[in-house]
Amino acid sequence: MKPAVLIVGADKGGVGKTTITRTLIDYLASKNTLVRAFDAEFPRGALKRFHPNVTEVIDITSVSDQMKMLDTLLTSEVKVSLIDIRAGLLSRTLKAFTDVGFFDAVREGEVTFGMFHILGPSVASLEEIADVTPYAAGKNYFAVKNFINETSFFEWDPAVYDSYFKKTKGSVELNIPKLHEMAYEQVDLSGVPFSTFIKNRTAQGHIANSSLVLRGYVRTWLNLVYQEYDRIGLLDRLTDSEAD
Amino acid sequence: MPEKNFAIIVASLRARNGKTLLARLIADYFLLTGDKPEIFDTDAVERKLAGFFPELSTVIDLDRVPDQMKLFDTLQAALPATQVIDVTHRSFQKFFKLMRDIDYAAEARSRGIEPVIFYIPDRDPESYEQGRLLRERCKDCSFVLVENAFVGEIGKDTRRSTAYAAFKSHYLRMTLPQLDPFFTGVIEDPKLSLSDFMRPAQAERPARMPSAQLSLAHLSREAGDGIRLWLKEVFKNLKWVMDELKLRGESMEIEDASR
Repeated sequence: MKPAVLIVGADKGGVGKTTITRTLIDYLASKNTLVRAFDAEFPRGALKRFHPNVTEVIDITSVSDQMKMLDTLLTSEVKVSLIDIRAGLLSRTLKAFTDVGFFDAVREGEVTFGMFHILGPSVASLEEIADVTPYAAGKNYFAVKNFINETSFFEWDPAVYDSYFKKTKGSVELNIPKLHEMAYEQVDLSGVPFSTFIKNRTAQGHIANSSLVLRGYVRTWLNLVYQEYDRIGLLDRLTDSEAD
Repeated sequence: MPEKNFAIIVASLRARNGKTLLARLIADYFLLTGDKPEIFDTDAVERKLAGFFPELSTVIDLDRVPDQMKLFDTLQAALPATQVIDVTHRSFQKFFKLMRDIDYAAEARSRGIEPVIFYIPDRDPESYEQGRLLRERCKDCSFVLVENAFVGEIGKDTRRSTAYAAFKSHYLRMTLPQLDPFFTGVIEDPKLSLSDFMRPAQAERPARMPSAQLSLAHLSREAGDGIRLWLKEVFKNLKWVMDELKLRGESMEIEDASR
């Protein structure tokens, strides 16, 4: 398998980027695929709190941190790198990746690239699609409608959305269902991956005392999310590239 | 070997076919045998079952997650007790979907609790069909078919249905005999404890009944005997089912231990 970089981002904040990244780490782990994650919420690192063993907090605007991510792609034993981009930095990061020749490596087939673009309900999200389109064309571009915050996407005119969305060749739409807020909060308080919460374990691997009901809600929801990743053939997209 | 605890789930697709009465009788059966069950009434509107056992009952509104937690998370208590859960027909689908979603049966078993569904079909083919589907979907629960004599004669359409036929050879089943309609009003008195009524000391000395049961003190001997005979038959039928369930549980434990 050749190295793969998956970016999870949005220019708008509060749309659930870290939540999606957490589900991706769980999903890939469930498929026995090792992942390393970069948390660009510098210096706080929300992702690192849930997945400390695989996550490194980075400042994506710093050249040394960009080197830490990109210069190790070919040498790292862990082939999939997930980058949780801080709000407001998606376009800037993509431009920086262009400047350092990352997309040239993608075009030449050295690296697989995928982008999970988390969309909010506002019209600004549609404009974001236009901003990232130049970087997404012909690649694995996933427009993620995240309903976790009970977003209704009411501000969107479907025709306008289609006009933006269809411009991006090969783009795929993903729908992430809502998780009951009590369940979400409980996982948040536990500070463990969703999969660990379902297994009723603490971060240290001891038996936790999490609610059976809330664990059930998380299990059902995570299965639905996994089904979405299966539907788009995420794993095949990462491994098929090997044959390119 | 410690005594097995049960989570008894009483359900029916339709209203008014004896579900709450059966849940009450099961709770009283456990009280008579010295157990102290936790009782859950999922009818947050009528709260009828809770009215009979105010000190042992919790009323649950299944539309509320905190209430769902009150009901299902009791499994995680340090000393889980036998539970009797009366599932209102309004929450029939919701309850069992939730139960499957949270993998309730597996969790209960891992804590030494045997989940058992007591299902009362009505006279129509659909209620048998829903019972058949329930038995199919909840294979990890014991399933008891309860034929309530009060429901009346089953029609030809139902007898011809495949769902009805599917239950013909179902082993775990019991009949809920019909009580003389003359006495039904008496037992609906929420102050009447059926288990206390059946205790020998109370039967011999009705004048010493606790104040909560004064209504029984005014029963004629004929009425008292009629109710007692009916209860005896109900509890005999329940005992057969519970003994079968205990035997099944023991054989499963032996199988598990030999693996």
